[in-house]
Parts: sequence; C-alpha cells; structure tokens
Amino acid sequence: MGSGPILQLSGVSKSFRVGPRTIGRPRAQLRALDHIDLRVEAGKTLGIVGESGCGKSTLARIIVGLTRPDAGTVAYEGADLSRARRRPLAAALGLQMVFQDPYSALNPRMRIGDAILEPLLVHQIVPRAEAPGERDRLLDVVGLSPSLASRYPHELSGGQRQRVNIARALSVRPRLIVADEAASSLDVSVQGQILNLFSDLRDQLGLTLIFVSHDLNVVDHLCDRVAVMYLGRIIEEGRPSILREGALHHYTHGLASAIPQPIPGRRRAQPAISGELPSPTNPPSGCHFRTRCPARQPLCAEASPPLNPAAPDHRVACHFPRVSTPEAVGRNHAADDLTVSPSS
Amino acid sequence: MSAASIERPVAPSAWIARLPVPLVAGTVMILLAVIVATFGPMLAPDPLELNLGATLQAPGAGHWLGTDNFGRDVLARIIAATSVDLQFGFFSVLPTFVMGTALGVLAGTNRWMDAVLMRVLDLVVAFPFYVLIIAIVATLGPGVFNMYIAVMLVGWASYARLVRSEVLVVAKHQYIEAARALGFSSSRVLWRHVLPNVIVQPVLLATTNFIAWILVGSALGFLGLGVQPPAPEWGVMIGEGRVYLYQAPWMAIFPGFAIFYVSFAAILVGDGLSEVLRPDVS
Amino acid sequence: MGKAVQNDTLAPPILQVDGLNIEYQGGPHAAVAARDVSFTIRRGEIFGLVGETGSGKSTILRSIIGLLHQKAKVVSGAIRVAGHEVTGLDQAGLSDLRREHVAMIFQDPLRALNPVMTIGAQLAEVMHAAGLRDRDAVQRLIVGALERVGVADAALRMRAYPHELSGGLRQRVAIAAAMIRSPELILADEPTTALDVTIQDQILTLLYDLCRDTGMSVLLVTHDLGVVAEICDRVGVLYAGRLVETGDVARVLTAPSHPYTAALLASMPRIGERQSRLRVIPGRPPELSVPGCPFAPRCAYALAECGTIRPVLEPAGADQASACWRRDQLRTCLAEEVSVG
Ligand SMILES: Nc1ncnc2c1ncn2[C@@H]1O[C@H](COP(=O)(O)OP(=O)(O)O)[C@@H](O)[C@H]1O
Ligand SMILES: Nc1ncnc2c1ncn2[C@@H]1O[C@H](COP(=O)(O)OP(=O)(O)O)[C@@H](O)[C@H]1O
Ligand SMILES: [Mg+2]
Ligand SMILES: [Mg+2]
Repeated sequence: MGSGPILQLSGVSKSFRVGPRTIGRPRAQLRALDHIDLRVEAGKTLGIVGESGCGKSTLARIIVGLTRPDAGTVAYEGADLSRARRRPLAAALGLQMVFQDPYSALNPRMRIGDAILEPLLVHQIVPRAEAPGERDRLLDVVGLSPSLASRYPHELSGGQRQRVNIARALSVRPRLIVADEAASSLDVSVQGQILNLFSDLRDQLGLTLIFVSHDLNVVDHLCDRVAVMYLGRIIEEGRPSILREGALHHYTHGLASAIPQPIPGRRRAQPAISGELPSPTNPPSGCHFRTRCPARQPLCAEASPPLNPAAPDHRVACHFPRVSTPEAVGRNHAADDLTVSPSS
Repeated sequence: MSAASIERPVAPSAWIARLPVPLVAGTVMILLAVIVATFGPMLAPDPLELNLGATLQAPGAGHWLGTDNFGRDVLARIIAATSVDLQFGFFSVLPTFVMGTALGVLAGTNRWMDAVLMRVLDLVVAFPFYVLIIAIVATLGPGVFNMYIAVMLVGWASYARLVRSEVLVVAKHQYIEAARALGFSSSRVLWRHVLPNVIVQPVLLATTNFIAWILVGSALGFLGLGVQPPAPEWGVMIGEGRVYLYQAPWMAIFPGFAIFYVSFAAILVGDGLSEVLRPDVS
Repeated sequence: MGKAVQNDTLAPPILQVDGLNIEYQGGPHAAVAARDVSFTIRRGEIFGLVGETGSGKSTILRSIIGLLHQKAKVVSGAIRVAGHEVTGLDQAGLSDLRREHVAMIFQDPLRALNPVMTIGAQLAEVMHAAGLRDRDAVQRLIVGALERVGVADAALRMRAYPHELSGGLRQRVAIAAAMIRSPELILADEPTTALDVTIQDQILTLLYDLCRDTGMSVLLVTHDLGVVAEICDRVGVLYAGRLVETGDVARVLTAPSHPYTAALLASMPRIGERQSRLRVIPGRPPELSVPGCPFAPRCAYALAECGTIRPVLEPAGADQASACWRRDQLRTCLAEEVSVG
C-alpha cells in the first residue's frame, strides 16, 4: 500500500473560449474546470464520473500534461508541474494516459509492435538489443500473442487494440495511468476483460489508476475512491459507497439511480433527474445543479456550496445534502473494504 | 513468450511480387518512356531537319508517323519531345510537391505560420491558374527557365492547402496526443506520426499534376511562352497540327497519343501508390 | 411490468418474423447477418432485441421496414407487420407500410433530421405528407406533439435547427416525428446509446409512457441488458445472427435458460456487487457458420454433441424459449451464476 499522495491538484481551473469570433463582443467563456482540488494516494484507484461535458477529459489531459491549466497547481510526487513549459521527462513518463477510442489512438500506418517499440527506443528504456524482447514481454503482459506484433491496427479487434494502447502506455514504466473512458466503447464481455487487465496491472505493478468513466457500474467495481463532477466542479468525493446509499449530493444519488441495471422490476414512474444539462457557457448561478435539483432552496441560487468534509473521507458540495442513514453507510464501507483491496 | 518472436519471414524478391499490379505496370510504362527519351534521339532522324519536298506525308515506310508541314519527321519530333515533356513533368511536380507539403504541414501545426501562409495562398488562388502562370512568364520573359520559376511560384499552393486540411484532421486523432504524452519530440511526432498519415493525398495529387504540368508546358509552348520553336514539344506539335487536322491528322493525333500514354502511366502509378500507402484500406 | 401481455392469447401480434435469413453479398464470401430468426411482438408490447456488436440487431430491424443496405438480401423467411407481408414489397408498398404502421428512431437523430430545416418545418412536412393542410391546425398539432414528448417551450423550440438542440432534445424531436402518424410499431435502433445516463433515463421513461398511453409496440434494439430491464416486456437475445433465447424479461434476466445469456449477465459489473475480478466470456463469436451451437466453443457447459448438432429455439418453461440442448439440466446452474454475479 502506498503512503502520501502521488498526485495532488489544488485550485485547478481551465477555461476555453468558444463560439464565433465577432468584432466588439468577446467570445463566450466556457469554464471546463472550476477550482478542482483532488488527492490521489499512491497505489490506489480513483474514479472520476459525470455526464459528458462535465470536464472529465479536460482534467485527465491536464493531469498527464497534454493541456496546461489556467490556474492552480498539479503536484506529482511533490513537484509542481503546472507551470513548466515542458514537463521534466521523468514526470512526463511517470504519468501516462490510455485513451477512449481504441480506433483512433493507434497510428494506422504503424505496426503495433513498432508502436510499442518506439517509446522503448526513443527513451532508451532498455538497451537497444533487448528492446524486441521487452516489446514481446509487454504484449504478453496485456494478454496478446507477440506474433501479433507485425499486424497493423486495422487488423485487430477493438479489445485487442485497447490492449495495445495499454501496453504502449506501460512501455515507459509509468507510476500512474489515467484511463479516459478506456473501456466505454467496448462490448460488455470485452469490457470485462479490459477491466480485469487494469485491476491485475494495479495489483501486480503497484500502479496508481485514475479511471475516468460515465459508467458508474464500472467505477464502483474498480475504484477505491470516487469523485463526481458536474459542469466543471467536483460536487462529491468519497468511497464508492457514495454511488449507492451513501450519496449525500442529490446529483450523485440521481445519477446512480439513472444507471440501468439488469434487474427487472425497477421501473420508476419518474426519471431520476429531470431537465437538460444547462449550457456550460452560461451555468446557473450558485450551485450549478440547482436547476435540476429536487431539494433546491433560494440559497442555492445565491451561493455556490464549497466542497466541504461531511464525514471522514467524504466531501460534498451541497447546502442541503441528503440524509443517509449511518448503518447504510457503514454497511457499504464494509463492502468496499471486503472486496477491492485484497489487503496485501 | 519472447521465443515466439515471429518477424514475418520475407524472401528478398517477395515484396516486389506483392506490389500492386497498376504500380508495376505504370512504372514500367514510365521507364519505357524514359528509355525512349534517352536513347531514341540517337536512332531517330534529326527532328529539326526541314524537307520542303516531303511535307504532310502520310505515315508510311519512309516516315513511320508521317511528316509535318515543313517535312519534318513526326516520329523523330515526338521522340525528341519526350525528354522535354517528361523533364517538365518531373521537375514541376517534385519541387512543388516538396515545398507545398512542407508548407502545408507547417501551416497545420503552427498558428502563426498558418495565418501568414493562408493569406499568401489566398493571393495565389485568387487568380485563375493559367492567367497567373502566363502573367508571370510574360513578365519574366519567355523561355523554359522562367517557365519553371512560374511553376514554382504557383504550383505549391494546391499541395499546401490539401496538406494543411489533412494535418488538421490527423491532429485530432488520439494517436497524436498519445505520442505527445509519451514524451516524443515535436519533430518526431511530425515526421513519424503526422506526415505518414497525410502524405497519401498529396502523392495522388502529384501523379495527376504530372499530367497537368505537361499540359501547362504544352499550352505555354503553344502560346510561344515556353519551349521555343523549332524545338519539338508535344503541345506545340498538337498546336501546329491543329491547322492541318483534315489534310494531315497524324500531325496532331500521334503527339496526342504520347500525352495519353504518359497520363495513363501516371494514373496507374497513382492508383498503385494509393494501395501501398494505405494499409488500412484494402 | 409485462403483466398486460403476460398471457399469449391476450393481444394479437403486430410483428411476426419467421425463419428470417439475411446475407450481405458481394464480399469474398457472403456474410450471414441473420440466421433462422423467428420472433413475435404483440400489440402494446416493448420487445428488446439485445446482442453484442455485429450480432445482427440493426440488420434485422432494418429488414422490417425495407431499409436494408443494398448489399444485404433477405434470403428466406417471412416478416409480417399487422398481418401484411413485408418481404418482396416494392417501394410504393414500403412507403404505405411506413405511412400506415411503422416508424423508426435512430441512434443518432442528427442523421434522421434535416440540418437546414427548423424542427417545426420538418414536423410540418410530415403532417403535410399525412394529409393535413390547415396551417394553424398544423402549428397547434406540432406544439402538442412536442409537448407530448416533453419538449419545454415547444413554440420557441420549433424555430430551432437540429444542431442547436442537445442530443436528448433531438431524440425527443425524432420521437415526436415518429409519433405524428400514430404508428402501431416503432423500431428503435439504440435510441439512447449516444446519450448521457440521466437523459437516457428520461427518453426510456418517455418511450415507456407513450407505449402504455397509446398501445403501440416498440422493437428496441440495444446492447445493454440494463436498458432491457428498464422498459421491455419481452426480450430476444441474439448471438452471431441467431436468437439463442427469448422470453419474458423478468424470467430471462433472473432465470436465463441459455448459457450465453447467463454469461452476458454475469460479465456486467453492477453497482453494489463488487468482486475483485469480473467474469468474462473467453474467445469471440464465430465469423462463419458452424455446424453445431454457435456458442459451443465459448460455452462452459458444452458437451461433445453441442459442437455438431445445432439446437433450435424450443420452449423452456412458461413464456421462455432457449436454443440449448441442456436448458433443463442447467436451469439452477445458470440462475445461480446470475444471482451470485
Ligand atoms: N479544446 C476545447 N475547446 C473548447 N471547448 C472545449 C475544449 N475541450 C473541451 N471543451 C469543452 O469543455 C467542456 C468539458 O469537456 P470535456 O473535458 O471533454 O468533458 P467530458 O470528458 O466530461 O465529456 C465541454 O463543454 C467541452 O465542450
Ligand atoms: N454493409 C455491410 N456489408 C457487409 N457486411 C455487413 C454490413 N453491415 C453489416 N454487416 C455484417 O452483418 C453483421 C451484423 O451487423 P449489424 O446488423 O450492423 O449488427 P449490430 O447492429 O448488432 O451491431 C455484422 O457481423 C457485419 O459483419
Ligand atoms: Mg471525455
Ligand atoms: Mg447496430
């Protein structure tokens, strides 16, 4: 088990200018991330959930250094990376990303063996003569036959490609991997294989994982901690039990109930959350979720609730949080501990 | 595990056999034309020799493809023109392709370069193509050298625009981001990941441009701005033959065949290249 | 759920598919996308057709409305909508079918909506085609239709172009357009796959309510057994172009009678049921026709004869059918597999 945060984000904000360029009027400002504070412990798995457009991918890209934040710090092993023009190589390689779309994440003109070989050679991860052996070993680690090395990406299935993407990210021996919807586009049975691969890698290599997904089932299955985002803000953070009875934020609760489960007889008369996502360029004042919230009060429009500790290990940004019964929380915590961490 | 490292066993000659048929056929046809251009003039009669006693003779034993209005041998003139036209095709396509592709990649990856280049490009494409070339050659003075200068000034534009838009598409792909996340230098990303994925379109454009440039050369020759008479050139020959189309159709038809032959070869090469360069479309 | 149509004799069928075989021709070898597919949808019923990518869901759905890709050919079989035979209909017959009985909703409503026409104009067009001419009446009907599918500010929204709406609103508009002619059957191909879960939840609720209010039927194609559980009455599970199990949703999801259904259910991660590893189905679906059961090579319960003799869909208890030789022996086994997860 790790100790201390491997990654700490403080006050990370990012805005984009969107819409047509017009003379006289500035372009609309879109706050993709609004003061994100987040800690990731070494060796643990953090899940980031939320609907599309809430800023998950932007956060992922900032963590691995593909985008620079407008404000705030991104500290990896204590060193702030956010201001560096170019990240120190060790940090750049220590944080890797696995992308959502297995079809777009591999260069179509490159044999997959070469795609894995390239980082090994460029960064001299192993002596040149040993590189092909290392490539085969990496293919083996992700469950692919080394004989596939000479294939082009289009000659592989979606699941196989995602394995290649994982092998390529592993080639530079990262300590933290950010997986952005890495299993979302795959069929259930293949998705299961990829999720198992991630949990094996975490256990065998001691990797820290940040698992970005809109699928709460997947996140609950894989993660030690969960952060829920809504329109650029983290609105709740805690153990995976917040995706079940433990939710204090009305959005988390609604999101969790909206997930279809293969259990018959759950049909509700009303949708779990009504209304559309507000425009991200013009979010509601105060609490962003108030327009869709069943428990809104006048205060919600005036002040935006800070992300405050509500219990040990549990932060929530809501003026009027749900009441969750202590015994339900306790039961769920027990379930968290029972399964995911095999307490080595 | 690593014992099973199967590096596709390829016999040395096998890769030729695996090249697409059109590519091989087109290349052979072009090579034939090059051989004719190189060695043909040694065997053929003098293409400039006038014979006013034997003008407009039909194809026959003495003159296989007939003679023109000055009694010059049409076959000899076509052969002599081959090297002129092929050279013009090659040396117009090659530098404009390289220059246009390089500028297009720069424009697609650098915002400042893009702003500047796009304005220059707007300027170039604002004028009709032929008008611009003719204006430049007319300003610089007729002749083959100035013709090349005009080609350079104008020809890069179509490649640059094409490549720029392709780069913008490719840059959105996640493999470019993945390469950046793996800490590769920007030049590596450009050379190894962007360029191979944008090169197909300009290569195909180059094969069609090869013909287009030969036709431009011919047009300029016809206007008296390019190859200067009496030097033979296919376009010039067609122009001359046009007047005698009824009495001596061979004067225009056979140089036309020569142009058709080269075009066809170039199209075959383009077809074949597109197959080789796109492993994902097969 | 499903109580209204529990009894087979209650409601007459709206769609009958019988022994359907569809091939994609023109490739090096014909790709078979549907093999001996038979199922029935009754009036008022929501039928889920579920399967993994490439299992043939879209192909089957499109064959019902005559929208198959030109390479695809119905080799044999019968499709009857409200008693009318669909296979072999010409263009005029198909337009009649679409006008009278069937409407379709796609995964990406942008593909079904014209990008350069306002929402209102497109809905008006459908009404004109349906024979309505009075402008004011059409306006009122459009506002009504949009309000019925839950579009707020309908009078304002009709002036919007499709790209100005969110994905969820677009899907609502597409549903409104489909509903205008009061179809008896709606074919929906992954209508919520591109949407966020909260919006998916809303759209599924909408479809469910519309069905219950109007008595129309829905054929819902999806890859998500969760979606099936939410709104479907009955379900058909496709594997490699074949229906391997059909039946009442509650039964199929809690007591599956085919090992593939059970394996699919067991491989889904579920909130609140955390395991250190997920169950997975090894291997891949067969690409070519196999002599025996198509799932046999991946099946944990396969016997020798499963690889040689192909089982057909046969009753396995009340309102459930399975294409598995061992359906009776495996009953408890499979139910356990699903419940333990
Ligand atoms: N490069 C960009 N330019 C403009 N807007 C962007 C850009 N990247 C993301 N956005 C916007 O920022 C918001 C968050 O996007 P993203 O991080 O991709 O969300 P998610 O991954 O949760 O779907 C969205 O509204 C998106 O439109
Ligand atoms: N246009 C096509 N040409 C050839 N084969 C096709 C085409 N479309 C689909 N197929 C084949 O038909 C099968 C079923 O496809 P489809 O109906 O789209 O499946 P689903 O909707 O379940 O993903 C697939 O295995 C695919 O290979
Ligand atoms: Mg995203
Ligand atoms: Mg489909």
